Amino acid sequence: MRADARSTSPLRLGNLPAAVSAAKKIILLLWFIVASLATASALTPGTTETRVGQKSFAPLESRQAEPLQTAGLPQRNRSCGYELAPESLLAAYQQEWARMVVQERAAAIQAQLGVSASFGETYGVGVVQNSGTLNVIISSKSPYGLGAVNRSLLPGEQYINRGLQSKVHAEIQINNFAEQTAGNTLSVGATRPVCVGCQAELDASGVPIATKRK
Amino acid sequence: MTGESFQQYQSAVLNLPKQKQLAFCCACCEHVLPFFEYFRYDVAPRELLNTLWQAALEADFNQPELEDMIKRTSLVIPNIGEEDDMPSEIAMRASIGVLESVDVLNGKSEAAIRAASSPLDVLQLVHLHIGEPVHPDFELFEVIDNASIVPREIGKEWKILNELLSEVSLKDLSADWKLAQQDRGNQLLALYTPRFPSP
Repeated sequence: MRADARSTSPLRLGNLPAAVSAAKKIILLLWFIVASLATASALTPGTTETRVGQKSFAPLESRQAEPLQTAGLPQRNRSCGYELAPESLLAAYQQEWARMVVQERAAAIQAQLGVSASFGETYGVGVVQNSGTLNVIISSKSPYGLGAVNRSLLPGEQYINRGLQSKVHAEIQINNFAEQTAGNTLSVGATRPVCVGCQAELDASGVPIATKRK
Repeated sequence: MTGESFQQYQSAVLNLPKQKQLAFCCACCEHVLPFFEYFRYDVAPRELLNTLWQAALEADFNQPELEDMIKRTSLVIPNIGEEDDMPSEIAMRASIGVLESVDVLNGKSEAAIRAASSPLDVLQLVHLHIGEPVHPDFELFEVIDNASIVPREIGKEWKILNELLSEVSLKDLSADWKLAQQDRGNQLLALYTPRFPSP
């Protein structure tokens, strides 16, 4: 019985022309139903999207240009609720970027310090702007810091005051470096909470501290 | 040794089996612990290091005793945030590797890199202390054909590392090998102390 059923089915693999013919009939029937209804459906490309998103399928060249924000004029960042000129917007972005870099790198280096962190070794991280360029500056409390940390610095990061027997805290070294190189410290931080003395000095210089304060 | 980079050194250390990794850290600590003892005259880090040797070579140690030694060692290692004179800096660097080795024993393999780097960190400070700083551009792991003791120390460490990377078992190395590391530490101290500035 089962063998007979297979042999009479038009969709059986061995009877390919009959299967194709049956599929064609089904497709034609479906097309007729859709065309006679003449309403939008998932089978009529574009209509659904046009209705929902109000988008056009017209060629790009024929579309009306969207209004652009004019450079040089104040812009409103609706999500943040502040109004800034583009130059200030860039400066604010750089400032925020610097803050994030300092926080992330200070946390990463703190983890690399291992036991030394509990015995006074401190690294400073800062972003110094020199004639438009942002530089990530690293410093350490001890003259050479920790070899394992220094050899794991990211490309482009600059370790300063190597071999210098400085009594100055790591974060202050960065601000001093910025002053010596006519740069501007956008953000600074350290691998331990910034001490009260350093806070006073950095606050007086208007340098934002991105990591914890003591 | 020429051309060996820190990355190669680091991966070689990390590739050591745990016991051998600990033995290597102990060897590195032996090379510089005499500098701590010279400046601080305290036996706590030495006792802790001996226990770590025992753990590495015989896989045997007493946990409560170990914890007590860790506490005593932590109390005598200088905090350079409070004492930032050069002898304190050297003493801290020369003994901190012992505590890093405890972390290696507890399974933190990244601590092995710090313990293995400690002899070089100490020797750099020692050179600064005697007024002969290592050149600022000196790439420790790139230059070896140099008369300086620092690259020779790197060569020494690579030799130990290669010994441990071979099939040799720790039991075959133990006694003489451990003594050789202690001798190396004493030799380094003897080499530099005559040149230390008077306090």
